[in-house]
Amino acid sequence: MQPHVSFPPTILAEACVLKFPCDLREVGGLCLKVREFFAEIGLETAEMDAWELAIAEGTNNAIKYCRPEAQHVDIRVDVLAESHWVEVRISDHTAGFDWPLQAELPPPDSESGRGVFLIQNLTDDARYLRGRGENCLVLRRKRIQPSETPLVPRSTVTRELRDTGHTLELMTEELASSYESLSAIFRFTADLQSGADAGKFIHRWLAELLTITACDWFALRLLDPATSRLRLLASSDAEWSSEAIFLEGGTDLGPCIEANATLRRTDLWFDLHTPLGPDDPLNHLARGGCGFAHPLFVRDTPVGVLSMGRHDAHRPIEAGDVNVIQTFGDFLGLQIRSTHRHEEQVRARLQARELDIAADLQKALLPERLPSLAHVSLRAYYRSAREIGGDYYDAFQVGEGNLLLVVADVMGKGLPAALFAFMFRSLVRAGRHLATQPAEFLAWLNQNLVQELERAEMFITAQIAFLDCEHDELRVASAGHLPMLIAGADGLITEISAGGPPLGIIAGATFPHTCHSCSGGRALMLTDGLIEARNPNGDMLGMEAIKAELTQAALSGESSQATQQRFVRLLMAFEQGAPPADDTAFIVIVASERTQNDSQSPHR
Amino acid sequence: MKMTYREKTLALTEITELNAANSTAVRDGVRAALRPEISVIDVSLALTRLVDSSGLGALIALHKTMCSRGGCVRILNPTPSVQQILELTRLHRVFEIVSIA
Repeated sequence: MQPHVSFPPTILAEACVLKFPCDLREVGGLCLKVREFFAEIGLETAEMDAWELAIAEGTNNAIKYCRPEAQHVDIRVDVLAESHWVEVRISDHTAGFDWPLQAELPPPDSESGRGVFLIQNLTDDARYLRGRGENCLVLRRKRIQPSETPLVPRSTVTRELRDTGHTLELMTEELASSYESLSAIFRFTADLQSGADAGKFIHRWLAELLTITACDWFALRLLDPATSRLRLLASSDAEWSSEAIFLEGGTDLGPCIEANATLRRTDLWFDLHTPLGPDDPLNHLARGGCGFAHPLFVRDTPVGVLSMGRHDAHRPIEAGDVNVIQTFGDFLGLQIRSTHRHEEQVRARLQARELDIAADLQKALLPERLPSLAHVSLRAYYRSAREIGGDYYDAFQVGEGNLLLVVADVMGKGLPAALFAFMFRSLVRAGRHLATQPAEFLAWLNQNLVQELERAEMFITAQIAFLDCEHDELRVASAGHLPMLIAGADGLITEISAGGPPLGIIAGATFPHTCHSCSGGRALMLTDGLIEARNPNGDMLGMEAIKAELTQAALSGESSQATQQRFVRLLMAFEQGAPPADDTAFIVIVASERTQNDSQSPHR
Repeated sequence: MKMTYREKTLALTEITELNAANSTAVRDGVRAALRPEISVIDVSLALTRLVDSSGLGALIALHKTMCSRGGCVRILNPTPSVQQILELTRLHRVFEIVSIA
């Protein structure tokens, strides 16, 4: 018999492999054989006694708790004796045990619960590697008297050594894979810190994990906590675009192993005996083979699930490889969570910054003061919703005693809407030479904006009114905007709704205008935020309520400031504290000799 | 294993192993053999090579049986390895261990 070693020559080693049926009555014979082997290599009696009991305890557990379907499989014990150490590996086909770091003795009158305590106290190192196909108890104990020369086994035990080469090969492989996975993790971390693209490096490292563990495929899903869905982040099949899986219920076709593993917070396996469900998405990758789904947690919070497997169902993933996958998967979950949190923080900062910029733009958009004329009094109101919107109003004097009034509403919210509102304002100021002709003014604005608005798939509704005080005439043109309301001194309301399409819809569009008398009248230019204000029940304020209020204002003959306050009170009373869903803007225009005093003060 | 009655004592001898394979049979066999007058069980471990955790469990089960009837279990002449296991598991505080020359 040749020594079955492939270690460097300075390391002296002997090994044997013993296989025996899964039967408690076989343990005694096994222990005697191992003892015989230990005697041959020179272990002392006390060592042999300790080893015999430790091996008996390990194999007893392997037999007593063996899964029924695996009871026909032999129990395997590998023994490796080096010059200073002895290592024994006992493979089992149980469901696996939770191996305690340090087992405690049970109460003295307890009839069980001392096995693991004995194993841990009779050896120097005891580890338990869990896997699907098999688990492995690895025991190590220092030799009392180190061997200086290799001993060649002489007895019948040596016949059992024919598999020793294979055993050592497996051990070496596992050591190598542990080293590989550890070094992979270090490289992985370095990649992360270098700011590499997250998706790419995760895919690359999972591909490397396939090589290390000799698996054929992988799938990594991340949990979206907002929707409780597991979304595919990476898989070994780059062409595969599996739909998201609901945690509760799996896919439309039924439950699936990835969702179940995450929900049950445990590894779930599949093979020939317990195959995947017929509609399980993983069938695409597994192709009838075997594998498992390992849920990923960070501080008890699920973050995703990593599934790996082999196409050959008769080649289950060994305990050592399972440990590598679990360790790497857990580490991966931690890193992904950390990366996502960082990205979320950056995104939140960007959004906050965007809102700041939009708010600054909004402030710059509105006129600091409204013009003051002898016979016309103006008051305006603006309120933004939670997000910055694109409502805009403006008023400036044209020539002597004339006014240009503008209200507009850019579709959408946020920075894009604010930017277009800003652009609109600049154009209005630049095109003031067209102020006396509101229809032409709108056509000109449309021509200048249509290209940009089309590209952004946005539009603007606007209304322009030119108040010719000298001739007592109000010229109004509208681009898809709400009607202007004019109330006479008798309280009767006129809706001025003539207009063309919103700006940015049709290149070359034309806009009609209408002329009205304004003497002694009271007008309201507004955006839809006022009409569409909602109360807590979701009811809308509506145009009729606004018209009724304007009638009351006209009949009372109140100032523009009082009318402005009237509408603000109406709005607040109706909303009853409900948060506004949209921006609200309006201008109150009172043209009356009685308003002369009003016009002496600035308006806002 | 051999069982011998001596007045109020049941003596168990010639035990080579007390392990997972035979502990249940030993426990049940001894319980079945307990006559009413028996108040002591002497377990000789002089020839016992190995007692595993199941064997310890059987000894504790017999100890509880005897305590419930006002008796006890004594361990006689354990081999050094068995003695070490009894001490390691602190069961030397539970059983009376007797060394007879």
